[in-house]
Amino acid sequence: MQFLNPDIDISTLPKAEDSKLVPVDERYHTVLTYYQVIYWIIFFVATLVVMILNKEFHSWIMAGITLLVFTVLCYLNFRLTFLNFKNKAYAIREHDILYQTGWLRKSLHVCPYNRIQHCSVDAGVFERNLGISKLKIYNAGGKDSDIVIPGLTPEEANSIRELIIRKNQQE
Amino acid sequence: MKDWGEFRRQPFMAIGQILFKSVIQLIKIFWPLILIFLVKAKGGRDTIGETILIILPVLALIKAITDFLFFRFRITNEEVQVKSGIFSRKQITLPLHKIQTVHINQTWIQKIFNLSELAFDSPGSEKAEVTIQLGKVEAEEVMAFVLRKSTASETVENKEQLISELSFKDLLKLGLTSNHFETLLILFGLFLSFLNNIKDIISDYNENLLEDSTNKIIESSILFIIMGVFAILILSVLVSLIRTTLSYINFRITKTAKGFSISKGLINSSQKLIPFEKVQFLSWKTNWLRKTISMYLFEFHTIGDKEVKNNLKIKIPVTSELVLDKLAKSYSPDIPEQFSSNLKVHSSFLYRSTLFFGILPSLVLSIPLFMFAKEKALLLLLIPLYAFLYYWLYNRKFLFSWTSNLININTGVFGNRTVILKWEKIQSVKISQSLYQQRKYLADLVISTAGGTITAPYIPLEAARELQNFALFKVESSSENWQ
Repeated sequence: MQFLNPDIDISTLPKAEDSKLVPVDERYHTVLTYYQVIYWIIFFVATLVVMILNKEFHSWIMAGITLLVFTVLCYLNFRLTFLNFKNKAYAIREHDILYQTGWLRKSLHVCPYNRIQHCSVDAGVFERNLGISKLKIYNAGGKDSDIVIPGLTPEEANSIRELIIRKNQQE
Repeated sequence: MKDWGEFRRQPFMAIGQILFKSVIQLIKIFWPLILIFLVKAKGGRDTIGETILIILPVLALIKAITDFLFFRFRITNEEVQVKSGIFSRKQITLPLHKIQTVHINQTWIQKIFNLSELAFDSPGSEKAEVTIQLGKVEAEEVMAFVLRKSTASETVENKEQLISELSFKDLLKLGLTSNHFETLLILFGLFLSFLNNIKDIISDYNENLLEDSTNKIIESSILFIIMGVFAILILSVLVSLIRTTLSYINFRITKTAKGFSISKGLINSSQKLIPFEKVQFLSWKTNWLRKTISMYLFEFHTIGDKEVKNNLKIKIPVTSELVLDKLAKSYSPDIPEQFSSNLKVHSSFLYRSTLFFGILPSLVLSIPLFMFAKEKALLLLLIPLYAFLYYWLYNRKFLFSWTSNLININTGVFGNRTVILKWEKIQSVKISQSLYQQRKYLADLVISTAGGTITAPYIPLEAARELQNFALFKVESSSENWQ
């Protein structure tokens, strides 16, 4: 048999960055907002208890400063979560799956189908109520290498999961 | 070979090893208590103490006997099965084809009872998933059988070829050139844990012992500090020498048809076999001292490597470039001297890392330290200097290079580390950018393999994208199996 080893022109390879990414469902932002509201209520109650117990906070100035810091932190957190959400998107290609996430640290993660070990479709309490689920894709690269795509309808999640299983068997 | 298909117990002598393990476990838990009784016994009789000292060995004996009686195993053509436990019954089934490596370990206590410990690793488990005590000959027999089943069904002539052995001189070289700073940290950790344990049993323990000694050190003369540092350094070198000698004595690596076989140890001996196809990538490291005497520490990164405990990792001391070449060629026969394309880390990595890991921490620490130590807080200036030196060396040494078959990464700070990875072994590729990197068109390229993650920080975004696309092309178009 003749052995061939031709040069590969990298510029002609399919570009992951040019793929058309599909944003995750808006309802996922609502789920994130629910979690944040719960977190901030707990934090607010804890701050209030500390302020009541600590006499140094029993003045309008101290209470005002604390409230201001609290509001600024709360706003920043909500804003950051929104920006993070806006960047969450995915794309399904012939041989791999892409997932983009993050605003402070933006990342584009690509996992080929022939490296996927297994995948599952999960939904938390809020997600179930709002009718969305998340797709978890595991490979042998460990925790950092796994992909979790939130904000998919159960039908979408299940059809992607089935596609992955089919592709995995073919490749 | 014996028939292992029926459930059976370990050899009766295993009870001795289990008893020893139980006693050690109990001593580890109760040693402060035992010490109290021993100290108090000088003053007068302590009946409660004596009773406890009698009960503990009896408990250990009962535990050893029950552990022995309720531990049963069998090895069929498809799997290794282990049943154990009285109250919570546990059954582990390990399919033979999932087994990554098989080790035979022998501690000095096992040597007394003429036993060996057979340990099987499978992907994803933090420690050896199944361990069985057997006679040495039986253990070797089972190891050969399991490896025959786990790697390939066809039989190949099993001829051993010696790759390398370590002489006493090599051991000495290895010990003297090892990482003494690491030893120092271990000694420091041990000292702190000892202090923590002992404070419970000494009634007049000074709670502020650490604080007082720190103050005394701050107040003492420079000469005293230098002498102290010197004494600690000598101690670290000595301990490093003993550690290395104990771990690598009788070291021997051979190449068989299935993979590499490694045996080592005097007091606790171990034997491992690494099938070729389970190796995900290779790395070897050296420091300037070791490089001058052509000494390297070589490592096979196998599946699930990052979860594996350090003592189960496959590290091989290599004493010549010839051996290094032989080991590397077993992974890929065509490793070039020079790689055609390469990339370096952008200089902004140095400045930003110095800012985040040097300047900012020292600023934060400076406020409390100025209050307590006054002008000695100026020593904090050393942190940014050290961070700058650290990242300057890292920047200078980092080189990410590749051919159409292999990736080669040269990295290191005070030493040098080389990584060789086949594109086909990649599991997933990620491009990650901070806000700063987005503005400057830079990115971190994160390559995940089943043996660990490799990152190329602060490389041009365009290059990172090309590498990501090329990696995907290689993984998706290749028919080569990664495991």
